Amino acid sequence: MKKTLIVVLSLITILSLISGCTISGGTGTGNLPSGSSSGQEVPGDSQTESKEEERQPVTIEFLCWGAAEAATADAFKAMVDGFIAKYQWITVDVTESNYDAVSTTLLTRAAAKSAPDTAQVSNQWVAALKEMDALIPVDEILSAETMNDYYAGAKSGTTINGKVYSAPWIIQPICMFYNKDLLKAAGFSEPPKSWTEYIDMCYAIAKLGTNAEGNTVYGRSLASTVLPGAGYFTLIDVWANGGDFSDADGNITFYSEGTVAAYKELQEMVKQGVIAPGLQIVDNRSLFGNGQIGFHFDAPSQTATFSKVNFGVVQAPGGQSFSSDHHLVAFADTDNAEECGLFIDYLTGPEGMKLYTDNSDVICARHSVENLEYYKNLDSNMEVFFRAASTIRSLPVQSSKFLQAMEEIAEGLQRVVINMEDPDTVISDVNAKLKTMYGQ
Amino acid sequence: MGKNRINIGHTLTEQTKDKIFGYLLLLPTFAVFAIVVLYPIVYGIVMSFFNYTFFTINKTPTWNNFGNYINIFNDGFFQYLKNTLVFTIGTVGIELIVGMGVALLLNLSIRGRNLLRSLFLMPWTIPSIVVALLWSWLFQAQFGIINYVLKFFGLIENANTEWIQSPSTAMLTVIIAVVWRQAPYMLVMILAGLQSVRKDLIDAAAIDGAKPVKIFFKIKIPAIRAVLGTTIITCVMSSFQQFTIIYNMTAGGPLGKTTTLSIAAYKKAFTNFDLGSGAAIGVIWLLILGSAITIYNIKTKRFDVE
Repeated sequence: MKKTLIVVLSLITILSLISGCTISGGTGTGNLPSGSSSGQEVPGDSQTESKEEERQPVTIEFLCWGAAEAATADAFKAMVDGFIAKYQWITVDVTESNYDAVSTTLLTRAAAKSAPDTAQVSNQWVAALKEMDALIPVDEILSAETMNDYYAGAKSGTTINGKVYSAPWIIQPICMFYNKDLLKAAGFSEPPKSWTEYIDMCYAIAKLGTNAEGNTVYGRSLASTVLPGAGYFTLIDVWANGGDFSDADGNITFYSEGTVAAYKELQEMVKQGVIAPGLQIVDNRSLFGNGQIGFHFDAPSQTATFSKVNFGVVQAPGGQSFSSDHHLVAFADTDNAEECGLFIDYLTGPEGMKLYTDNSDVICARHSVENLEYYKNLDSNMEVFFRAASTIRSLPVQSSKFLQAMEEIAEGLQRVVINMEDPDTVISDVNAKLKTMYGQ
Repeated sequence: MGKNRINIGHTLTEQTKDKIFGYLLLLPTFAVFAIVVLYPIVYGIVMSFFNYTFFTINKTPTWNNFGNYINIFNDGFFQYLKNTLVFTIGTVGIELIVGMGVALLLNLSIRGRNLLRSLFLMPWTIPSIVVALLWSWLFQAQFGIINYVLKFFGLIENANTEWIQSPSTAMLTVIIAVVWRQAPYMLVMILAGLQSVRKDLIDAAAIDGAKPVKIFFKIKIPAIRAVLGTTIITCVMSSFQQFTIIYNMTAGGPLGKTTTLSIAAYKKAFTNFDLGSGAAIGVIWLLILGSAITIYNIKTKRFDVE
């Protein structure tokens, strides 16, 4: 009898373990509501609003890193609370994640057909998710009016074959921070207006040798670790010298006189001690924040990091820089596409952004949000970022190969500034690898 | 019919019944093992022979004529393997020397021994990500304390010497960081082994005039050989799998000098989205570790006590 009982209990344990391993969730087709041409009802429809009172309660999962970061946690809580208060039949389950883990989490969850309903993403991850057929084009769940409200440049990066796969939320235009004290010590009263002037100033600042605290001073920053960020930050140098990653048709054109000139310029600056080689982006931030770097390209979110330095911000000399943006996506497996549309519209629109800007300094991605009081009272530095946001160019993120390509460029950069190899040979090698990678 | 069943039941001896019962009791463990260990391994091996990317994960995989293996062998596999071996031999070798030295010290009757044991164990309790950040800052070229100390003692000329992003020293920096975190494990195991060595044997050897070095090599080492072997194998496997500290300190750079098999597999799978090639690296990695441990077990079997 005892034996029988033990065997039965063992079998129950096995069965419960096996059943626990099965994946719960939708069927993968996504039960999209009918009502619009694309099978969706879009926010703002009078029909949608009239139905609000008779709605069944719905819960959507929102995966993001903003709620996990101290700097933005309050803003995220306020926005989610504000949304729930407005759309009372919708509950939002917020899944917090570390920024570094979000991309991998979304890829694996999408592959396992257990993606969240909606998520905060970098615009650089959208192409890969789209290629997995994991996303609903946002122009199918947002009204045409809302879609037209987004900055054209911000949504162009994630527009693939005419469909927009993510809604731009926070624009992170990369502008140039400059240390006013170092500039003055080197004999300049104004930041550079052209790329040539900028390079001359970098050399002049490095010639100062040390700053007031006796620490080594460098003319400019450069991230040269083998990470994608180090790759795409050098595109500013490449563009300023007349090169480009690809042409208008997407053909790889990295090997050009302009790119080689840019890399020669960087190599020479490392040789002359104008740039400290081998630094991570975070090291460059520390050095600029410590008053040891004259010029540093970064996003508006970093302004607080540099509070000890007397700095100013201008757009990249030569005018060409990029933005690395935070977007919102809706996943194809969701059963609540319509609610995801409402959520995305709310967060990116005036109501959500009002709550966001009450708590954090961020640049919006929609024209209608520009009218918020916050944007009318920006300080001079944030004003530069704000003006850059609507005109800055997007990174070539339309391919899932983008991050791999940028890592290849970063490795090429290391060969040039750490191994001191011939820039022409290196760029030619990198170009060949990029072409193979992109199947060209 | 019913009668036959009863007859079959009666033909089983008590011993056979106990055996069957024993197997039934093993079933839950085997089921868990099969689901969480065996299935992923077999699936990984199968995946390594197919075109298997994040973009085709829910479609029928296609056989690619060993394309994943050809791809990784043409794409720096031997460099990654060399880096892994250098890293593993470096970390385990230094951990063994440091662990043995400190364990011998802590095995003596010295004042504050318990406090010292706790202090030496502390690095082991720190999460790998924190260790990576800590050593990144210590080695930082511009404001890291290591450059400051070396410069202070006149050991380096350039106060901004680059360590982590220099191709010649990058591997050394990650080895130091990993040794700092993992040596306490080696220390604990060796110390436990040393404390189990029979005191009467050591006393007898001492009375016979054996010097401490001879006692160490002739009595203590043979006595703790089993513990030492197991600990070394565990550390070798741990070093082979090390990812967090290396990735967060160097991301495999500069110029691939610290790209070990674990970093390469991760990049294949999550940067290139090529799960098949990532799995192929994992399969070769499994074969290398499996073969090494099998050879070790065969070679050391003759020492085992029957």
